[in-house]
Amino acid sequence: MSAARARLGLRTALLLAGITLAPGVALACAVCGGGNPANRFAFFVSTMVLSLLPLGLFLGGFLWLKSRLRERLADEFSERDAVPATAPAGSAPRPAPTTAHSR
Amino acid sequence: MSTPDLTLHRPLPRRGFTDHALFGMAVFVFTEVMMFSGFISAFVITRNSVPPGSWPPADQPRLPFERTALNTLALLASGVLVWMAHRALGRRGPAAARTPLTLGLALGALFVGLQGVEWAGLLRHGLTLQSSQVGSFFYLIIGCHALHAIVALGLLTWCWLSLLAGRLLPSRFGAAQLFWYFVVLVWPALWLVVYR
Repeated sequence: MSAARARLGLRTALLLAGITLAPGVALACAVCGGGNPANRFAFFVSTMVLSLLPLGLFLGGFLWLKSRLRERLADEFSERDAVPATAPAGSAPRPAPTTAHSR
Repeated sequence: MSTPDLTLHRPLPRRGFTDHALFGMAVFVFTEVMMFSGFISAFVITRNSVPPGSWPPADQPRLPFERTALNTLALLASGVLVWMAHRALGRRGPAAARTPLTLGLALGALFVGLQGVEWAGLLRHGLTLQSSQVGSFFYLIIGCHALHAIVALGLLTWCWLSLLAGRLLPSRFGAAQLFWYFVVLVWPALWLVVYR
């Protein structure tokens, strides 16, 4: 029983090693593995483009949102920090109005 | 008894970091970019898998690459005109945006019309969805783009009517513009890959 299990384990390990260490031999897809060099090159380029394009789009979107946020929040506290011009001389500035955002 | 300070309860205006319509359209365009990339990828791999010289097959018509350059120019000019309408709207008001937007819409409609004429010719010459892989890919990819162009034209027409009525919302126009720019900018890639 244990010998059969050991043989099964050995076969599985050999199979996994074969697939992992020699992927060129274990080609399962006729498109990516077979065909002419131009076909393989097209498959490689397509794979690269389809992998990198969404990452690039995400990065572009993130940078765009970051710039928008910086632009919108540039004067976020200007209203709160503004000292009233009509404050009498010598008096302490009024505390800033409390709002839902600053609470 | 002192008067309560009403500024304590004065709400600040909401500070959205971008327009919702524009952001939603940007996410949609993201998915569309990936869809067309998948189409182009499948087309390029299939095209490179056939023996050299057999694309398109002998009994199938060649796609009119040179003649479609006119459509391409019309579409690119339409994109530029819509951008000019956007600038005119921001700088000189709605009246200044009417002419470029009208011309942009007309050129976009011309593109769709010329595409229809071209399709009729190809169908007459035997290129159908089922006649070959060329036909399948052509009608799938270019047809999908035409569908997008028609929807984008509908959005721009809606904005144009709102502009004429004096109630064009900038967010609506921004979203429609983004979709139209996508339709315009994806076309040269499709033209160069599929027609050539």
